[in-house]
Amino acid sequence: MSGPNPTDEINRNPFPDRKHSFFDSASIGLESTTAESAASKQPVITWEALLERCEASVAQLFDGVADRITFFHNTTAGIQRIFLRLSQLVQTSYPTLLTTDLEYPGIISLVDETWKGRIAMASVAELVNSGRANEVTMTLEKAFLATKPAIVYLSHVARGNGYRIDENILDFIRNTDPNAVIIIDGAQACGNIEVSDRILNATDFYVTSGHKWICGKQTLGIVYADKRWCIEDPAQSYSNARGSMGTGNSLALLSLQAAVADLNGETSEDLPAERMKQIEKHNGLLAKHFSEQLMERFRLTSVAQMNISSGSAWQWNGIVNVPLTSLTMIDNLQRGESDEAKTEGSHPPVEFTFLKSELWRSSVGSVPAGKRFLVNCEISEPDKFFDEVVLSGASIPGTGRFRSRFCFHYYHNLSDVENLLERIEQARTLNL
Amino acid sequence: MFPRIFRWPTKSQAEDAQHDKAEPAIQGELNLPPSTVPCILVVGDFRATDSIQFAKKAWDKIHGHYTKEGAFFGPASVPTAAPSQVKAPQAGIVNNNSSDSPCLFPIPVNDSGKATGQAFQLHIYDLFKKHNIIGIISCGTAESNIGLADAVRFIDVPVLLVLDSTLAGPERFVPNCRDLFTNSLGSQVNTERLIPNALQLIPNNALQAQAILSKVGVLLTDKRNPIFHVLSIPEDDPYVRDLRSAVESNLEDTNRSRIRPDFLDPNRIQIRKNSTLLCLGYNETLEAVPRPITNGELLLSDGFDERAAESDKIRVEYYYQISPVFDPLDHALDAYKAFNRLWRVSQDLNPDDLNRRLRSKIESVRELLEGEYGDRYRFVGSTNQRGGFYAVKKLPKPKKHSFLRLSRKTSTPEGN
Repeated sequence: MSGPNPTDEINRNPFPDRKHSFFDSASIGLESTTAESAASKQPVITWEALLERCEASVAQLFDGVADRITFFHNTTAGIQRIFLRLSQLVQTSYPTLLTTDLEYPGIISLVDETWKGRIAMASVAELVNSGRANEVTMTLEKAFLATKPAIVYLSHVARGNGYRIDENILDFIRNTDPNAVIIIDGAQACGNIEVSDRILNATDFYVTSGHKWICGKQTLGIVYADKRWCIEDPAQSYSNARGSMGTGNSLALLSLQAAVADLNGETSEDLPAERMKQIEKHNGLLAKHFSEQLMERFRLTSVAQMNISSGSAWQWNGIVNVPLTSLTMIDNLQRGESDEAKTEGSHPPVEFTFLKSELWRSSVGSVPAGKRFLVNCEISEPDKFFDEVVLSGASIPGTGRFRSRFCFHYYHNLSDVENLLERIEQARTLNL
Repeated sequence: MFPRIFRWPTKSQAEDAQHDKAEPAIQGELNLPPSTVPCILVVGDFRATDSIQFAKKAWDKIHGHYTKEGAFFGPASVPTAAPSQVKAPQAGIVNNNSSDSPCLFPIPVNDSGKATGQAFQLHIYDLFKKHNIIGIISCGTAESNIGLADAVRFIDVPVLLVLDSTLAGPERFVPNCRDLFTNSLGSQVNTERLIPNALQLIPNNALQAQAILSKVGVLLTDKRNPIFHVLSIPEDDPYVRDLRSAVESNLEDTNRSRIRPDFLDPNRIQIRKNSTLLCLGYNETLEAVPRPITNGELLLSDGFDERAAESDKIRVEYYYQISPVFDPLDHALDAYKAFNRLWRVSQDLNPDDLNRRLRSKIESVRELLEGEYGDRYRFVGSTNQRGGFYAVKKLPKPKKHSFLRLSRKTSTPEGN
C-alpha cells in the first residue's frame, strides 16, 4: 500500500476488546468501550445539565453552536419533525421536493407518505454504479432547474455506494434559488468524513445519527439547524423533555457524549476540524486499500474503483460497495466458521451489509397526495423525462446482484483490513 | 382574445414549414452546462403566417423593456429562431453578479399555435434543464395554453397566462380556483387539484358575458321580438365553449327574461333580417356565415380583432367590438416586470425570514401585481377581478371596400 499508514493517522482506539469484524454501519455502529462504560454509570447530574453538555459536545462536530443541536429518538424521527415543520410553513402551497435515488429507503417512505406536494427523484444511482459519478453534479443541477423545487433532500454520503456529494451542487442551488430549503442527510457522513463549514453554511438542516459512525449507544437522531426553524418536537424531542424528564434516554446521551469526545478532539486535544480530517483520511485510506486489494487479488471491482478506472473523480471515505461473486460467498462470510469447527483464534462472522434487492417502501402507510416521479435528465424522449412512479413496490436501483457494503471506521486499522481480505479469500475458496 | 387563426397565405408559409422541420434538431443542444442566470419564457405563436399577432407584439414590448434596461445578459434570441439556435444568456457580460440585473433574460418560445407535440415538449424540457426559468408569460390562446400547461405539468414554475380568459389545464392549472391562499386542506384532499400555478391577468369570460348581455339588452329595448342570434364557432374550441357557457349562465343567473338567445346550428345557419347577431369566436368564425351581413346589429367577442371588419361577410356600416378595458399588451409587460421584481425581492430576502422563504412564488407574484398596479389587478384565487372590465365599442366598417357604398344605401344610422 502506498502513502501513509492509516495506523499512524489515528492515535486512539477506544475499542480495545472488540472483535474487529464489524464493518457495518447501515443501521447501527459498534459502540465503543469508552462510551459503553460511560453509559453504564448512573448520571449524577440533572437531565437538563446532561442534555446541555451533550449538545455542546456534539456541536463541536459542527460549528460549536450548541443551540443549533436538537436530539430525537432516531434520525427518522428528526426528519419526520423537519417535514412536519416545513408542512406548517408552506401552508397550502405544497411545493416540490427534490431528492435522488441514492437515498435511504426509510426516508423515501417517510416523505412519500407525509409530503403532500410533489416528490421528484433525480435518477443518479445508475451514474454512480456505472462509473459515471463525475456526471452526478451536472445531472442534479439539471434536475433542480427542471423541477423548480422549494425543498432539496440529499445525502452527504450515499448509504449504498459511498458516493460523496460534490459540495458545488449546494452553491449552484443557492445561486439559483436563494430561498430553497436544503436538507442534508449526514447519517453516513458524520464520524466518517469531515462536515465542513461550507456544507453547514449552505444547508438549512443537517441530520445525522449518534449510533452509526459516531459510535454511541442506540438510538439517537441529531439535527443541526438554526433555532428559528423551531424544530423541537413537543412530544418527542429530548430538548423539550427538560421540564418533564419525559421520554429521554440518559444512557444514550451519556454514551454519545463519551463517543463524541473521541471524534471532536476533546480526548486527543486536537481541534475538532483537524480531528475529523484525520478520521476522514484514515477511513478513506483503509477503504482505498481494501478496494485496490479486492481488484488486485480477486478481480472484484468496487463502485469506487470502477469510477476511478473510467476517469471519474472519487472522494474516498469509509464506505466500499462491491459486488461479491455469489450468495454462497456472502453467506460464507456472514456465517463465519461453524460452531463445531470454531476454536480459539478462529474467524468470527464478518458483519457487513448485503444490499439485497430492495423496494422504496412497502404497502404500509397511506397513499401519497402528490405526484411522485423520477427525473431522467439524460432521456431525449419527452414521455420518459418525467417518469411517474408509485414508490410502494418500486425497486431501488443499484441493489441486488450480490452488491455488498463494507464500512471502515476510525477504530479499524490495516491489520483489520488484511483480516477481512483473508476472510473474503476463504469465503471465495469455499465457494469455488 | 385575439383571433386564433386567420388564414392569409403568404410566401412566409414556406419559412414556417422550414422552421417546423428544424424542430427535431433541438436534441443536439443538450450539451450546454446548466446556468443560474434567471430567465423568463415568452411563449406564443411566432409563426410568420397563421399566427395570432399578440405574441409578436408582446415580445416586442418585453424585449424592448429588456433592451432599454441594458440587456444585462446579452442579446436575446429572435422569436422565429429554431429551438437549436436559442441563445443562451451571457452571465457576467457586465459584471459577475446576476442579481445586479434589473431584468430577467427573456427567451421566446414558438408554440406554433398549438403547444403540443414531442418536439415542443422536448424543447420545453431542454430549456428548463439548462436555464434558471423564473416564470412563463404565455401569450397563447386558450387552446394552446392547455398544451403549454400540459407540457409543464411536472414543473413548479409560476405561469402567468396573459391572454387566456378561460384558464384551463391539468393539475396546477385548474380553472377558477378560489382556494389558493385561504383554503385549509384536509388530509383527504388531493392538493394537486386545488393549487394553481397560474394567474389569469385578463378578465374572465363571465365578465365578458356580462358586458355582452348588457349591450344586447340595450339593443333589444323596444324591439317587439327580443330574440338575438348567437353564433359560436368553432364549437370545440375551449375559449368559444367557455364564453358560450358564460353567456348561458349569465342569462340564467341574472334572470334576463326579456331577451332570448337563439343559438345557431353551425350546419344550418339562418339569420333573420334586421336581427341582432352575437359572434363568439375568432375572425375565422365569420367564414361560416353563409351570406354577408348587410343589416341589423352585429356584436363580436374579444376573440375578433380589427382585421375582422375587413371580411367581406360584414357589410353593415357599424358593428360592436367587445374588448377588455386594459390592453392585453400591458398585461404582458406587467407580467414581465412582476417577475423581474420577484427575482430582485428573492435576492434581497433575509434568509432568516423563514415564512417568506417558503412562501408560494405565485402568491408573491400576485402580491407584486396587486401592489404595483392596483387599478388592474385584484385576484380571487387565480382569477383577476379588477382588470375585469369589458368595453363595448361601436366601430365603423372600413370604407375602402366597394360594397360599403351599397350598404350605406340600405342601412340606417346607428344609435347607441
